[in-house]
Amino acid sequence: MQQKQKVIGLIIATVCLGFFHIYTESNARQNIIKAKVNLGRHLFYDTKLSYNLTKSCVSCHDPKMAFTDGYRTSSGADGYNVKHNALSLINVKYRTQYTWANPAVTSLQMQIQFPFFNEHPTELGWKGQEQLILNRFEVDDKYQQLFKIAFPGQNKPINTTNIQQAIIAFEEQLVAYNAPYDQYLKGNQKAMNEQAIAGMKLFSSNKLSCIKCHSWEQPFKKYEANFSAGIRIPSLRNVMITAPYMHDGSLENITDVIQYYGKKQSINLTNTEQQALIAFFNALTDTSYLSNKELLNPFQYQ
Amino acid sequence: MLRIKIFSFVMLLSMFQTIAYAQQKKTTSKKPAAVFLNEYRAGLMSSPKEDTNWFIVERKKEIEQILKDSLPVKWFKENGGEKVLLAQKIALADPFFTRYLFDLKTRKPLWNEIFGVYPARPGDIKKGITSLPGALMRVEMYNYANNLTTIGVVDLFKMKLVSADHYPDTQPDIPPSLIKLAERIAINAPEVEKALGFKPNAQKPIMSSTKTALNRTKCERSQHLCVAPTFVQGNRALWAIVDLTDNRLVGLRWTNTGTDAAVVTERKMQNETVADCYCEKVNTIHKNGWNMDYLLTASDGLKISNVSFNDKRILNSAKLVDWHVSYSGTDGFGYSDAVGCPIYSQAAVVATDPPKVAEIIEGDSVVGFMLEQKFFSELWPGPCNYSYSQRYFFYNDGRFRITCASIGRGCGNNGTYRPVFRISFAGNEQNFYEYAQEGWKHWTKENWQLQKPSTLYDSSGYQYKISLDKANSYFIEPGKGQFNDGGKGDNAYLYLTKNHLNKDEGETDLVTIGPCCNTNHEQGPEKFINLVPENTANTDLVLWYVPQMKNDDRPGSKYCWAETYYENGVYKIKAYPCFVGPMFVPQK
Repeated sequence: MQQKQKVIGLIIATVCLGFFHIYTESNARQNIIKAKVNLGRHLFYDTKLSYNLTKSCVSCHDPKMAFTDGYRTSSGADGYNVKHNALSLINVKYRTQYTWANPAVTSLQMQIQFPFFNEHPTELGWKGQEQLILNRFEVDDKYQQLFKIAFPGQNKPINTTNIQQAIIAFEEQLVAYNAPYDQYLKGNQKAMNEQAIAGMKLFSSNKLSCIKCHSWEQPFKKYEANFSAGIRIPSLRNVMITAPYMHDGSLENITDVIQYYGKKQSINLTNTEQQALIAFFNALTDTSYLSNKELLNPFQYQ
Repeated sequence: MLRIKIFSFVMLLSMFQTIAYAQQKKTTSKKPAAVFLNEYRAGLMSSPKEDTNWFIVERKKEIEQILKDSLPVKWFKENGGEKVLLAQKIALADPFFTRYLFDLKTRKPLWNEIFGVYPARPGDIKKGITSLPGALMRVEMYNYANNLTTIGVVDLFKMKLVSADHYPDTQPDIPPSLIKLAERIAINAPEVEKALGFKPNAQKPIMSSTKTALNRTKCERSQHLCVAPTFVQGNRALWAIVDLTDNRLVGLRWTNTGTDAAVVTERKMQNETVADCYCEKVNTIHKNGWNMDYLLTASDGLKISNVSFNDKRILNSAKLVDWHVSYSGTDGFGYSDAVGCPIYSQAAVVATDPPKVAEIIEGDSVVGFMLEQKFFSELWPGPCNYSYSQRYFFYNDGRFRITCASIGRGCGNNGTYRPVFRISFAGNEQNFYEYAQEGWKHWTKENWQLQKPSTLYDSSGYQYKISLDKANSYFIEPGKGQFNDGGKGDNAYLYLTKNHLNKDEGETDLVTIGPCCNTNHEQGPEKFINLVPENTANTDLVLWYVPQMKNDDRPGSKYCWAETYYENGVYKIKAYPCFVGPMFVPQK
């Protein structure tokens, strides 16, 4: 009888130890992910990332503008402008294409090589300067610590691959799927006012058919952008805070965009209709991520 | 048996919790953010090290010495002789003027420097102050510790301070010695040499006197006194951002100045006639029922005052306080500039020609007149040189329009210009309204608002309305590209503040009131909106109007830009001004 009890006790203890092991493993994994995101956040906002200390990811991807920069085309570390307008990084985790004009770039790992190694023009300017940049992090006590926690067990954690992985881990945290329109779709009828609802209807109407190209990006689902004449048709989430518009930033504000397409499709929109569309676009804005300090500049917000 | 099971379970659980807690605690305690924050606040270029450049060592010794004096102030001794010294002596003898020389709590000495002493011009003198001609001098002092400017006007004959004000978070024009120091720091910085590929001994930097900012350094939002000696190299400009509070280089930035040629320049030189006739003296206009005074201020552009139409007083004054020019919203760098008189001003963009009055012709008729002042930097339209225009339009039917434009070319092709207008209407029973869905909505408290694509206008295109009294009101029509002057729209911030008669909130000449590069409403005028916004019904009001224009160097859409072109064997200048500013239309 006593032996039976001992065996049962032992089994229970073993099962509990197993659970404990799983828990600690998963906890450790979570902590490593957190550490990687934290490292990525520091790198994202740090001009040490560019060869001449002038640019970082945030230079072209500013949280205040849904991680775009407000310029027609962004300027690289040497002051020369890149070809295209900066794309928003919000919900980048759920994208399947990552550049304006190259549908073959299908992962963040592929995309991140461009700002790092592009030469004409230079963006961050890593080409030929890798060691110089890595040295900066190697001599920095704080970065040594951040890399060590994010990549435990590695002898030389400060390397290009790890830097890119950490930045990607941070970028994958930039998620915002709670715009008034999302709330409206979930059944909250009050989330959008009458004007915005009229705009929504107009957006999907046969008159405009905007929805044909600008399909709605569903929360937490992979979003495949359409391409037209080789140029990506972007998601309209946060469109009101990502001016200027088009792949080359050629249209300064949303009214210009509406007028451009009105002219192109020979559609006459009344002022009321234009205002309704703008009200709908406003309902696609979700800046809740701005209240999450863990996504903002670590050198300003702890 | 149950006891054994429970015992082993509880033991394991408590062990599990203890380890998990310890692990969590370990992770939490490793947070390194605070250390990073401090490191960054120290500046971006490198960690502070011992200064070896003799000019910095000397400067620091001088500061140490001055802090031991009974008044921790560096005097302005660069020019002006006895009068200038006497003016400083009088100002520094006044306890109100010297209020912030020491920390108010600890009484520790703070680092102060008098940046300039100028003959007081009409724009500097408050109402009710009388003096003998040439007796008043304006003394501008900067407090580095508090980032605070103190401006005093002294009477040399009466030997007393006649007015003084303290302006937090503002910075006066810097003196020639500081311009030289900033240039020395930039030229001798190894980072600048590395970026340019050579040590810029011969190549003189430009825009060294214009204040700047840079995010994630102490220069951010102009918390320190910072300037940016700039080196033009081909189609680019290298900005060496120098912190004059800490006496060090804090960052470098490149901007793209565009590919358009600029082989000839206007080479406008500063001219004493302009200073004597339009800065020292108030001029008047009496035309088509309009009466007004106008004056070229030291740093608030061309100011009009006492404006009336058919004997009805309309404006106390209107002027252009600042030009904020941003080349990166994310990095927060650009210039915080002001325009004004030549000769006495340290500003790089000054009036080189006198103001001009011209008729406004529509069809075959003269419908009004325009008062215009242009401002140039010497080598415009070369890269990193600027030109601005200020135009006031007065129509025979009582309408008037207050405008300005950047005429390029500036220091980058990704720039945003934000001029700051101050418009003070006459009368102390004013009310202000905004057009809203339900009609005209009364603003009863100080407030600000941005003109956006979703902004509502009434059927005539008016966004606001101001009533001066029961009988007279003006509609306000912002620029939306409708004025046929090339303007594409104002996209303006408007601020409504109460006009205080007992304290100076910009009635006299203002120093730079806002940082170059804020992208939000914090352009300077918000400082005059109280924490608890004041009542704005039936009272004396001031409108601050801050339009936003993005420059463009693309063929076909050039805007706020200038270039030279070749024609018939010579080079000529072509400019693409970006005019902004509201029209005021009397309500019939």
